[in-house]
Amino acid sequence: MRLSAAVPELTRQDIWVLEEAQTWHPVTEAYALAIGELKSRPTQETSSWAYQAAIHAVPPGQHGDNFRDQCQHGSWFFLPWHRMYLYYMERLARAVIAGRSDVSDEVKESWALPYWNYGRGGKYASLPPAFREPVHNGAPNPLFVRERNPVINRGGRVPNQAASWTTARLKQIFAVVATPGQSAGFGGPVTGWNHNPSEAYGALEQTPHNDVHGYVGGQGGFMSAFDTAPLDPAFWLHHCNLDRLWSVWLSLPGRLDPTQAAWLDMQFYFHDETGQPAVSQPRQVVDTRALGYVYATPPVHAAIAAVVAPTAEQLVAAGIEPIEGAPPADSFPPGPPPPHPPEPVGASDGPFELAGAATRVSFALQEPQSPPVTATAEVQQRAYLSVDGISGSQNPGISYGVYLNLPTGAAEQSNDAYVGNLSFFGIERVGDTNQDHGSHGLRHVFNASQVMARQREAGTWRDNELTVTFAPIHLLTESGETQQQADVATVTIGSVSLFRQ
Amino acid sequence: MSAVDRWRWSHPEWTAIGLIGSAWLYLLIKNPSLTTMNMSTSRNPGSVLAPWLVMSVAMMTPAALPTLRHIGLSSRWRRRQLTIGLFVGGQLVIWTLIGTALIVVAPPLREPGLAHVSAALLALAALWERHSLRQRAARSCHLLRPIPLAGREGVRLTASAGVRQALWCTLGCWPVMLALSLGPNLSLPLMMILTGVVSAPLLSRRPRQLRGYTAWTLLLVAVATGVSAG
Repeated sequence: MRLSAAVPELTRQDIWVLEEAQTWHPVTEAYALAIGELKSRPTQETSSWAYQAAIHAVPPGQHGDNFRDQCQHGSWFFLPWHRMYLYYMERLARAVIAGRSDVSDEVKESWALPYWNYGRGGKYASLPPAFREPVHNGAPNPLFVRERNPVINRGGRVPNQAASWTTARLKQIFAVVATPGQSAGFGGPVTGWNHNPSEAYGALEQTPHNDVHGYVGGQGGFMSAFDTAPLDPAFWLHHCNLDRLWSVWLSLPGRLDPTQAAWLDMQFYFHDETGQPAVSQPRQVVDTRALGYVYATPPVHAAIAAVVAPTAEQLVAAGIEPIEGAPPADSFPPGPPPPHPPEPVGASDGPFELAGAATRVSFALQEPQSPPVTATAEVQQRAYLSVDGISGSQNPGISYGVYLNLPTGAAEQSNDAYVGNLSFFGIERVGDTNQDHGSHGLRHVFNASQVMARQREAGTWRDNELTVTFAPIHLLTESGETQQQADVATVTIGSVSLFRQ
Repeated sequence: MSAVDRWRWSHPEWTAIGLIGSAWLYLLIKNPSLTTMNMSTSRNPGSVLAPWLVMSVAMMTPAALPTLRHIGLSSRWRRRQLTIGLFVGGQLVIWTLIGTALIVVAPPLREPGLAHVSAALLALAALWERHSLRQRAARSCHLLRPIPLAGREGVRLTASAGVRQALWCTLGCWPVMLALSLGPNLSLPLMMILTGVVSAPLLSRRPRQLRGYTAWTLLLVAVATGVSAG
């Protein structure tokens, strides 16, 4: 993204920066007032809270239209569509706030959606108290919903492993053509209009987007499902953070948005704050300044822009985890993936289940057979772990860390074995043929190249067998202790396979 | 490696594309005037089944190309074509059964006085195009469970996936299939148009918006067929 010279009008701020400056900051207060008013409007009104949620998705079994049931997932349209969604919601909220007599002129002038930077860790991975108090000023608090993970409502924290965008940040390419076994880029695979995910997720959508939805919603909560997620006021802060991370990613060396007309010119339909239909295209939203907003810039962004190596502290403050022993801005192996497709070299025998406990699956590997892969030097070869056919009746409310060849009893979160998180946002849509582009299961593809290289170097990689461990990542309490969830909903994994490229 | 080789690596369904092309070539050769292809009731039913299968491959397999690419790329290199062949084979089982049934049932209906039946069925197909069950059937064609890389289970599940897709395609396209099999005069341009109607929602980037156009196309074809039938 190349910033225009336009002067931004609005600055979206970190909700915790606001709330630490003042509990129930005027920006937060105005947000609550706006939501309260939107909730009171009739469902059929385009400006109602319920209609705004239906724009994202309608309940399973129902049909949307050109305006409703439109959210883009598992697609390179994920980021631009949600940016448009946030944009029109912000305009709507500002219109409501402008009409309030109990909001100052200063706030009316400058109000913008805040973002939740859970990647900072610690208490910042929890929702601020303003979102957790059932009552405010003697009335039901519009920012509070009971339909959340109760631990989150008691101040619980999204675990660091689920809140981190480290893996996404390393991606150098925005979008990759959807191919079996190929991990998607930062923003998502090249697709057409894509509501129900049927291809691998983009890295940012995979983690932290899907993870945070699951942890905040819990089992059966608003944030856990497509059609109810926007009913939680935390949804908008969550997506503002992802929108911000898109901007941060673009500020890193060599990152670019897609330039294909198929991406730039896709049309999506919304209503503005007056109820008038509006058409938006990704080309119109690639620059947040053109939309009239920027994000409050931590010092690290200025350092990145000035090509000055940021300090570890600056990175953490910006929600970027420092990575030791690895180039901070490169993926592994460096450069774009080769043009030939990955080749499967082994897969699990059949379906298996995850039900809240660590699960290990082993399967045999064969040597690659395809000419392009066998012609590639071993040190240059890539490896991808594909987890397919993921299904279940509901989001289990936790994610699982995925590890390769983790020795029994070894500490998890080992960088020499960890390839990513398995999360389940959208699982309730699996098999739903009332919607276009449904699937028999979700798919996650992890870039396992660096793990394979490290294990080869350490002598622990085996070319004839692979063991994959799925370890639950539990929520943290307000004090940072692990909160093991009981009765975790079962999810079924159709297959897990390794591809080489 | 040549550009052709690189293209083939990324498109294992190239053999299916060749099969589709061969099917259309056969139809063209059998019908040099490009106007009509009579499936006369006086012919040996066995010799009618062969053209029916060729027509099925030509008209129905294009919609399966994305699925064939997916299962090909998800297979071990040396099994790619076997996997694709098993899937197409599963589909052909269904087309054969349907063709056989139609050969038995249809002849009494293929009377010149009932030439408008084909037009009526195409008009019904236009209405059916907007029905939620048709749309669900089209989406179900897409759905594919993970298939084992090898072994008898891999063979069984691949072939059954082809059977399953053909069944959903039949549910989605039955008015068009009936119209083609019962109509006394089949024209190659008509077949090409209907192939587009059948395949477009499955190949489109935006199927929901396309359905209106496919319905209108079917209606126009129905009117044209009715008028030409006199």
